[in-house]
Amino acid sequence: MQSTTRGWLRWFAIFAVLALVLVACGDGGAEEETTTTTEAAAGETTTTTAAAEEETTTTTEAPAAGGGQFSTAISEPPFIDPNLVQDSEGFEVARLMFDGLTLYDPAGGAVVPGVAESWESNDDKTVWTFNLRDDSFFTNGDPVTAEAFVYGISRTADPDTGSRVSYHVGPGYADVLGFEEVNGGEGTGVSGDELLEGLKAVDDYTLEVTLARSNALLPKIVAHPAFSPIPQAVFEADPAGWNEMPIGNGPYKMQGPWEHDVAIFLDRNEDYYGAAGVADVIEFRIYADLATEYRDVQAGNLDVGRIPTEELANAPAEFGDRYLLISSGSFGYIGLPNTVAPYDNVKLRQALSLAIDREAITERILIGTSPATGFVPPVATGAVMDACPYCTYDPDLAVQLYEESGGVPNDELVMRFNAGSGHEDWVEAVTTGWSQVLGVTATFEPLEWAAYLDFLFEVGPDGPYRLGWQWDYPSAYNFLAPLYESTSGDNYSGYVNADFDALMEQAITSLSEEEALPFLAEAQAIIGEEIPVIPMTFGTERRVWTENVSNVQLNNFGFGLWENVVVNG
Amino acid sequence: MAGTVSTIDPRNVHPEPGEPLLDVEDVSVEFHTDAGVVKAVTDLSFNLAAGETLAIIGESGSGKSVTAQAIMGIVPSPPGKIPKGSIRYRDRDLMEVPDKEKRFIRGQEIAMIFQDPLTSLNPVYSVGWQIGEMFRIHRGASRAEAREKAIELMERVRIPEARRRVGDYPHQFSGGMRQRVMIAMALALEPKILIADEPSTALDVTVQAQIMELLDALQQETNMGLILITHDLGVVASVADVVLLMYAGRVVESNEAYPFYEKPAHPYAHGLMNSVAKLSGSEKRLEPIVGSPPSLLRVPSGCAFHPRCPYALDPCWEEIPHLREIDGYSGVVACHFAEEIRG
Amino acid sequence: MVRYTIRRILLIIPTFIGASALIFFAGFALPGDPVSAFGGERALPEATRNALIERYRLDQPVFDQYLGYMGDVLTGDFGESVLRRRSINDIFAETFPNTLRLAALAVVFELVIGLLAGIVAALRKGKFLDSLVLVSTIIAISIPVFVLGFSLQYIVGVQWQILPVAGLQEGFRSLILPAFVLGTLSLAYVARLTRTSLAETLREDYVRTAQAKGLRHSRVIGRHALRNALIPVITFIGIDLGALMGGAIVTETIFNINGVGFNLFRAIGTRDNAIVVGFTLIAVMIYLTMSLIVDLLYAALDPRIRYE
Repeated sequence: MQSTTRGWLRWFAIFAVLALVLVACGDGGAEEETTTTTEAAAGETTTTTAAAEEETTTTTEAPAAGGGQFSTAISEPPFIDPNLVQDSEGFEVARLMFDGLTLYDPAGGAVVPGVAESWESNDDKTVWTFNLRDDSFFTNGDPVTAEAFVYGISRTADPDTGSRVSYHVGPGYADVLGFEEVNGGEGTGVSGDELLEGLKAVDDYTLEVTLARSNALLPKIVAHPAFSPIPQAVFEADPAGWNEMPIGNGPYKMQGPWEHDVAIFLDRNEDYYGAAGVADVIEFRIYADLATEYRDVQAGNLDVGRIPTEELANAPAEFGDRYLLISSGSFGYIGLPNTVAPYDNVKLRQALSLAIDREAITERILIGTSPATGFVPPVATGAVMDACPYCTYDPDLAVQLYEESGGVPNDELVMRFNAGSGHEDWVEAVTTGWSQVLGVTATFEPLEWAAYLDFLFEVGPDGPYRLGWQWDYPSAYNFLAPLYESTSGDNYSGYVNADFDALMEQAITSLSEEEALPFLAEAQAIIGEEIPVIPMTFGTERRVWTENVSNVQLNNFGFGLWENVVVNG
Repeated sequence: MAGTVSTIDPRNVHPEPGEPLLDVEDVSVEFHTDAGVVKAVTDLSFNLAAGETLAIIGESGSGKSVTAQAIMGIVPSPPGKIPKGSIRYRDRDLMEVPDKEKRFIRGQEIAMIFQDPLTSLNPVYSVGWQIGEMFRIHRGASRAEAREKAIELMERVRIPEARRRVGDYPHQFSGGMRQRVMIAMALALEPKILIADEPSTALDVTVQAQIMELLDALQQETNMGLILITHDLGVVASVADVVLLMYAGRVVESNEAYPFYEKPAHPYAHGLMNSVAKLSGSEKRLEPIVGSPPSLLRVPSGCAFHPRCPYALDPCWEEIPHLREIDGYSGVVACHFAEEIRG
Repeated sequence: MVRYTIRRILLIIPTFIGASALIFFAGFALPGDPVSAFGGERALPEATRNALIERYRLDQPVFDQYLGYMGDVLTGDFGESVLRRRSINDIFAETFPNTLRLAALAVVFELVIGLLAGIVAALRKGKFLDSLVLVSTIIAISIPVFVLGFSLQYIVGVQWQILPVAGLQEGFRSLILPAFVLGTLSLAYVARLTRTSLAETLREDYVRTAQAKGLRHSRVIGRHALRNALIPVITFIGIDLGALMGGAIVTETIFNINGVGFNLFRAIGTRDNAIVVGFTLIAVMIYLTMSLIVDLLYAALDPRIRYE
């Protein structure tokens, strides 16, 4: 044991030095990594470097002329592969990298030409022809052809892709012919090897889409990234690496591979056919905590960020004109089992709805949302304002209707919701309201997520429960058909109304969305009277930003129009 | 280091027998605790010469260990304090010398060994390291030199296989061997004075004798002054030159060993003698002293021994007896009725 | 010593098997399955569901799943996340260096500040500095981590703007705040442990011996007292490092550091069982290894401990 005679100080020193070395080593690693990324990016853009440099120079001379780099925040998405994007985070990134057949009009709920310059359909809206432009290229140089769309859309539908958004291609949505055969089939173990029967590349730049059912809304539906063109050769060369760095045809492209939980850097695509993005580089910095994200904006380390609930009240004053609030396309509701007694009684459903003080709840608890006055958020085309006459707070009428309905057994009811997602407070407020107004014993029961899904999908609800709906495309139809049409898989309340179903059929088979509007309005009147679910809230989106950027906009989806953001000089 | 304290003894030669080394005069030690002031030592005086062995005898709490600490200058402070008195080593007042010199005197001039050699040795260093540290710190020896010196010393205190065991740790030695290690460490720099605080108490009887013999032999070689602190009269009988008997922080009797053992003056000394089995093997029954030593927080009035004293009379609990000479006895004793008792 | 080490390493195996079974079955005993969790509020099409279930062996009996999983683990493959379609190994390899750097710096804080405070307190026992250390460590122990984290972010990051609020973009500077926050609790324990241990040691006989040897005060404290007093402290810090390397859920999340705890936290929230099980298993392995190292270190530090 000679070692101890060398002195404990040595041990101590070794320990401390080791710890410091670890810190230092890690540091070096990170720096190296960053360097590599930059180098790779530089190499990749050799052809455009000169142009970019020139532009940067111009920018410094004349501010607000474009260029520069800014950062905005997302949470880590599971996927940025457009066929798999399932959350707003992945959508934000994929939307900038991939242009579909059509694009959402940033101003409203309409769509504008994307890769498809024009489109037409047959009379019954079952066969659509998209005429593609010949100057859209993937950023690896490959042209975007009709084949790339056939491949991309089929890949979304392929069960081997395991996409949560494959339903966009199927019934109730695009309903491309052959979807069931592919999506409902066994799968082959390989993603994207089965093509949909209804997709046909007539020539390089003509795509013919045959639907299983008439659909007047197809141009809107196909604006979703699930319908993005995919460069088959790139994907097949490295399927595992695809989601790390997809190659698209949008206004921006990836600077380097996705740095998971750190950032995604997008460079402007200089070969983009459309209006070029303003900033040279967009950094999607990844945050796990909204409060941290907000602090980083306050400290000036992050250019654009979201607002945590506890700061919603202070943010407008603190940021002044660097604060933006818009209504978004999300709808929160309390579901009721329409086929289960006593909830099959429309008067009971009306009474329960009238006994909720939405104003108070959105003001005090669900800060950041607005009280629902109908079934479709006002930003969606075809929304009817105040479509829900029973969405006001009217205790007297509520009691009267409750009495007439015969009430719930033993005057007891239990509301279920998923635990740990911030629903506790408002659910308690709702049940307390029911107890006080209707004189019932209303309680609530939070369920773990998996148990809650089981309760909703397998067991079937036997009382009130909470759910939300986020739109897939900006039309009232998307808020109506999925939730209340008797054949829809998302109609958990089990609402069945033949007139409503007929109106949905008429709407979707109309010649255009415009012609569908009366049917959509009528359908909203029906459910406004019957209250298949109790509308609660319409969502909102907010952003704050630093003085480093301007022209921050959000579209109706609540997604940033990052391509328009100006980096101040 | 030696240069700065050259007046002490740069050559570090053994002193001549009889050369005065230590002069303790009128020293008191107090401990200021939450419960009050503990007067551990009161008005202590004695001298020590080279080659002489002084035994300080007393029960636990009599102030004998604190006396040793006071001489070493290691009375824990706070709460310890030395409000009065002087301790002179040769021409130096130990309470006045600067810290640096004090450290030099400690270990080099005056060394100490303790009662429990296991807890008194650092468990995480080898014995060789601990002995060698003396040479490394005080003499600037290298590791290798210090190790050789340690082996030499271990051989000198008769630890078998010293070379093999120099790297062993204290817990690997037996009690007697550990005390030998302590002694080796204390004697490393050939101090002029060795204070041995209960050096053999924790050991077997046979080992006790060996340790005492060893100390005696070493003293013969070096002429050091030896202060033996013990509660055991028997242990010191054969080696002590002078005896200092302490009770409740005060010296109650002081004399040369022979007359003291022959017939002490203080009733406390009598009590102690009667409680010890004599090697001469008389048939007398052992009589323990009744009662227990007093708390130093609440020392009895007058003569502190009076509650346990079979001869106590009125003056004993009113007046503190001072050390005085009495007729027919060579030493000094602090007892009002010493003459009568000894009579 | 060699035999002890071997025995100690062998002992890790049953511990690991037990822990892995516990973690695995607990992770998979929860209602629902990862595929439903992936589906979210909309039920997945049946075929997609089946394809995923087959791909992740979820159709097998749980015990077979466990055996299959452990077989993979033995080859160093900790599985794949159903929700993220990414290999657990990749995610861990990406996140562990960050956690390690954070843990290492936190330990440096513990060592430097904790030890210093503890030593000062022990040497000035009962005096002002001692009280200061006692009070501030109590405060440090009782403040919840997220409160401390948010406060420091706001004061140091937003108000003073001297250190970054979050992320790792600024390298070492980015690590200072989170490492401090992460180390605070243990730092307080280290300070208190050092104080108690050193105060006790200072009363030991061998410290008196060292004084009697005529050693400098600093050497008496440093070489003789601290060398003994720090044994439990070093042990604590070693074990603590093992725990910290398993990931710091709250600190990493607040400071947006892509570490093990950061991912574990999100995985728990999203029911990403594969990540939870895989990461926990790796954390257990790290912890077991660290405690082995600490045990061996203990033997090296204290010769009285003999492993024969």
